[in-house]
Amino acid sequence: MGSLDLNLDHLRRTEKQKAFGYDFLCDVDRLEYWDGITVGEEYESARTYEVTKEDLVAFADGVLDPSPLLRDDEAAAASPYGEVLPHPIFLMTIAFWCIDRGRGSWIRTPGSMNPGQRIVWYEPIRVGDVIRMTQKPADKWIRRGRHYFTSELNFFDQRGVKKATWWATLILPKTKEDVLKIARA
Amino acid sequence: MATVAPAFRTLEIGTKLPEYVRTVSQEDIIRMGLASHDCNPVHMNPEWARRARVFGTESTVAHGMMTMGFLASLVTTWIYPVGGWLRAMESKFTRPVLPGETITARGEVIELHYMGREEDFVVIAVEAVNQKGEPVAVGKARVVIP
Repeated sequence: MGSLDLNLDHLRRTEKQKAFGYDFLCDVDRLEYWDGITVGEEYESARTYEVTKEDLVAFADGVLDPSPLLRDDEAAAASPYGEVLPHPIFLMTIAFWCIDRGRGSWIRTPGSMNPGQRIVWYEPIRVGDVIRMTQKPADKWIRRGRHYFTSELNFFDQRGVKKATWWATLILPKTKEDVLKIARA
Repeated sequence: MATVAPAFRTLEIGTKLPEYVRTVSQEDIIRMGLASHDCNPVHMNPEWARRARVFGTESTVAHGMMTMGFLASLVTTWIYPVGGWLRAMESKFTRPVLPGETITARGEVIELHYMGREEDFVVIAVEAVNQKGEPVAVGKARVVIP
């Protein structure tokens, strides 16, 4: 299968960025699609995510938020929060890392579209937390000829404290053939 | 318009948040992809996007989560100076954001919830539009404000 014809190595900043494979086309025949997903039991993701300050800052830069509270220790210490905060959407980084190429790979499938999302935050994620993420295929439906899928992603720290729930929804290619066709474009 | 959130007891329905404006380049989209680990080629690879036309356009598109990030930043920029917390957000993406577009995020307080016990919260209706005024996202945010 063809792979990404871009070299982005010079743009990778953090240790996790350097370790994470950014070519989503190289193993597309293993990625999940709508027909192959079953609503049902909750399961653990392939790996956990240890939160570092460089991860938080890199994401804040990526989402173009200049707030000192997301990157500057002095500013954060002087704030009501006491320490650097993650951007709220930092959960996205954790999700992709924890899933990687394992179960839940629908989140990487080329040809998918993002119709909207819902997130609830319970407790702040902090530098040093080791986050594990569970996934629960929650709903799959068809509307106006498009195939929607929602997975409930739950994020827990090393003490078992639930940090957030993200009902992650994508419009997915229906079949494996649909995935392969668009990947070969 | 208050540049930071007023105290909950002084907030009024209809209070508008200061606008949050960002212009998104292809380089920004690639950096977002690397930072988020979402390296779907529809965001990262202009040549593949031109052939695949996933969104009916020959262009790459910005991450929907980047737009949701702007909506979140709109809210947190307003509430963090006063110690507020973003508790929930839902968003619907109505139009893809293309490289080079300028996105303006806006918000307005639409509900006040008197919970007591330092859990009073507001609901903010949020939206994002591109430089043509076309909506790219709508949603709501639930925010605890001291």
